[in-house]
Amino acid sequence: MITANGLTKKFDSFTALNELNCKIPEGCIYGMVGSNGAGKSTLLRLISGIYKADGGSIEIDGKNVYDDPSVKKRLVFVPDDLYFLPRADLVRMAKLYSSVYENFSYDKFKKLTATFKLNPNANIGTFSKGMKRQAATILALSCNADFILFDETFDGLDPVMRNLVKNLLYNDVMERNATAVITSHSLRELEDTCDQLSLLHKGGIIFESDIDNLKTSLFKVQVAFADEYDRSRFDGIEMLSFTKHGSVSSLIVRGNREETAEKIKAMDPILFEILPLSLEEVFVYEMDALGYEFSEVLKQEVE
Amino acid sequence: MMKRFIHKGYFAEVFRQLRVAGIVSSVILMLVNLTTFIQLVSATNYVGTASVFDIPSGQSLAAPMKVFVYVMGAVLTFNAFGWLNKRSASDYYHAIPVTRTQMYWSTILAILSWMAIGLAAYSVVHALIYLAFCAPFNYLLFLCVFVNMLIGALEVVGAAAIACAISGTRFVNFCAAIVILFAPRFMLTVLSGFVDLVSPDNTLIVNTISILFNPTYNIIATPYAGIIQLFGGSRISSIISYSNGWAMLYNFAYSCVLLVLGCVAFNKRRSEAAGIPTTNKLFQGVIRTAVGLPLLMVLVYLILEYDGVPSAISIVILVLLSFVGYCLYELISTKSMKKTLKAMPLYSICIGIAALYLFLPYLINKAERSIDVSEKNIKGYQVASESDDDFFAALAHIYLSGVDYSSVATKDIKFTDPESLKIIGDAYARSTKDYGKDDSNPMYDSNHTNLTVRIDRKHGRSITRQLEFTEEEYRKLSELREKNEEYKRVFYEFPKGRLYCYSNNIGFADSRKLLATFKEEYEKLSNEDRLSLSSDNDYDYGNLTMSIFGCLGAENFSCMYKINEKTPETHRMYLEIINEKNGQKGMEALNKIREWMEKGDEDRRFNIDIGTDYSMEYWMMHYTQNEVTDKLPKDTDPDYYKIVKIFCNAGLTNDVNRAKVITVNTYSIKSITEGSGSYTFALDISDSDMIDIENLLSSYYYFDDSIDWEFE
Repeated sequence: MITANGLTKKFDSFTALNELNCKIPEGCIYGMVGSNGAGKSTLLRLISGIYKADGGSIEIDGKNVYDDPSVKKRLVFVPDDLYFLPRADLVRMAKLYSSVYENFSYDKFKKLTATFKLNPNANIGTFSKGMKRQAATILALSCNADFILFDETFDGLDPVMRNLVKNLLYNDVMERNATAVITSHSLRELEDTCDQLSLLHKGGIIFESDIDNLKTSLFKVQVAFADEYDRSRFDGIEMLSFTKHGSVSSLIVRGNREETAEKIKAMDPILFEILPLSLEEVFVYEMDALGYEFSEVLKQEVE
Repeated sequence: MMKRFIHKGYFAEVFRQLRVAGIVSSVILMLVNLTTFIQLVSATNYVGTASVFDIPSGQSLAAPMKVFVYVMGAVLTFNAFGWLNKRSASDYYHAIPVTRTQMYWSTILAILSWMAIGLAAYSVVHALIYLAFCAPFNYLLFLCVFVNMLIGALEVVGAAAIACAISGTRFVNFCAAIVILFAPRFMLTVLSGFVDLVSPDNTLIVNTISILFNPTYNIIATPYAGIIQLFGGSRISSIISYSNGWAMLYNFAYSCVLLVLGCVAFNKRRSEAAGIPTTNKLFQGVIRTAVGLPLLMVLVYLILEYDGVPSAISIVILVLLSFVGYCLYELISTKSMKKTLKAMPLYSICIGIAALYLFLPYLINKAERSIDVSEKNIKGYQVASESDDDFFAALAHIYLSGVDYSSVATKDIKFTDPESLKIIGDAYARSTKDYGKDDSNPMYDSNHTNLTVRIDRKHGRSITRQLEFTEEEYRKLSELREKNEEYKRVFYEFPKGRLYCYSNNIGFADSRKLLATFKEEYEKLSNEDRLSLSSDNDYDYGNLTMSIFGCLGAENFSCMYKINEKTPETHRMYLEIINEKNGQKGMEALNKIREWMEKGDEDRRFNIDIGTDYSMEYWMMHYTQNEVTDKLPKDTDPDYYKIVKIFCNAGLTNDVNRAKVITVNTYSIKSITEGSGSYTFALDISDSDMIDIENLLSSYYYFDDSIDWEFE
């Protein structure tokens, strides 16, 4: 388990992470979303031991990561700004990785290279952006690390490759009970990938939840009654939002779907429908409930 | 234990990354040997074989290597740690599960491995070249130079590593490395130069005051020690003794300290420092100050040299330029006008240091002169004039391929007799009191002799001083030294160690035979005769001489002996050898000269050295055919022509009583090799012919010191 306690990181006068707390359990895919400068990359770099925390701690199974190879061996980090050794090909990179990662598997490396159809002997410098991302993914997955950290995972990949990477990631987590921590600007990207999701804003996690739980506990209800009514009719149901157009109302409800359905059906509506929410919608309403302006937290997403 | 510092996989990767720079540097280092090759080829062309003059000295061995080795060290280090300047690369390396310590030392090992490969490549090629030319070679000295170079490279690597660890851009990396490497020694060397400058007499050998003033104790110091000589420190040595074990140890320890500091800085380094000039404000200040200081030091020099305040304009210009350099560095490195403005008041630190340098030299001088060197406090003395610590002796290493044998062999003998100690004490008192620096320079005082001595004191450290002795004192001191059995034995003994003999173009095989015969005859002689054979003049005209070069340990030495009736067998053998080797070719050369004088040939040059029993050294030099008169050389210089004819008509002889040894040198201005040659051989010339030659030549030249002999 990755545990951050009061984690703080500053760059001169800029505070990238401010007393951040989080727990990332083993065997899950943990997504982090946030706008530029929210602190996602900084958090990943702290988890991977690149940065030293200015305050608080970041631990993996109770051990501090910074400059401790025994912990670092258990995790592999694919940054957003990829770096490869000068004039290196995949084979040379694999050689370095195999010398520093005890669990590095050449078999897996070969399989993945074939899957991605990359020439292992070609200079990585000549690869396109997407191919470089693939190369980094191959190397990272070949390390068989317990924790796989991806920053802007799908940046530069075409849809086919995105799916391929997602599937490979699922398999790794499933087969080896590995933990993947991935970041993205895009909620949609993470929606069908992650088990858990957190939203970072101004150096802190402002929202964290299980995705299934998020999606099932928050839903949209469309309802209409023959008589005149207002919001008060739904007292007893936890609503995050209520809008009414004519006789039809839209409710964003948090709670048990079946129980809510029974309660509304008992009111004898002339129209009743429960609709699922997209993750983005869930976030919008949750943010509103927390008092954040969603468009401010995830500007790019809205734009 | 090893695993704690070195990570095999990481080492292999860095070694691989450095391969281009390493291979290129190694090839360049090998090519540096071309200078040696050309030197030996030209020596072979000139005297028929590579001469003993080409026995490499520490300086000649190190000079071509040094620049490349040190540059190689810096290039490899900046290359290997270059990733620290790039954020993505820095993050990448910091994420690798290898400890910082392992990363650092593995990188250092990879750099040093390439350096060792480069140096080994250089050394093997160097040794092979000497082997191919059958030229004498001081292997022990070469080993010492090799080790010194490696230690020097270690120092460069250490400084560059610290620079990379504490700064985040190439520009600041470079500036920081320069400052770390040179600034401390530069400031010490400047100080030693100023101490020498303000010294009221010549007794103080500044380099010997402290190891901090001795360039041998910092092999990187040499280049600017030379510059300091221009600024008053005329007696500050820029010459390094490569066989000084203590210095090697010191330099090695210093390099290790730099490397360890590099490790500490590297461990503290944060990945996010990449691309930022320096996160360490103190160090930024140190570099800034170092940039501002040199011009202020020039100002201090001007004040010290002229005993007063230099012109206002020079003060303004120097201070202004220094200040501009100071600010410019800050601006370029930080790219921040705000930080530059903030740093401006701190320029006062530069001024403070400069002010300190105005007084410190006087204080050191005073302290050195207050040392008690009275007769009662002297325990003994050693002649140190040929010691490596002495600038003049060190110079001799360059120009004479080594100092003389007795100096090398006797340098550790200590003299403790009271009479000598009294002379030393008196001479010290007089040397430090009688002469002001400007009004009389004892070095050029013909009534006195200077001798550098290392004085071992009863209380306090030993000191080295150049003392001035009256002729009587000097003679007495020499006599007293000879009473020392050990000194006497060494002084008169035939040189030990690996010896090489040189005598005009006879080759090494014959030289060895000659040397063996001479040694046999020499050892049968009395001390008096031995002394009469020893020649301390490189141009001991009128005598056949043989030079002996050798190595005692790692130190080269040279000495010259006369070959005459006291060593008849050597004399006879010498004549046999030169006539067998050069006689025929020499006669052909003489006939060609005659032919040229008769027919004319603008391309020809020659000279004939008649350096035999007649103590004559006449050179006959013809330039081109007389263009004004269109006359042939035999008509413009009929006397020369007569002499050449005499030589042509004489036959070769090995008879020690009749032989006159001449050396004929011929040149061609069109080609280096065609028609060029140098032949020493013995001719049978009657006494009457010899008198004629002498008379003919004396009508052309007479010996006069005022004549500036012009040789082509």
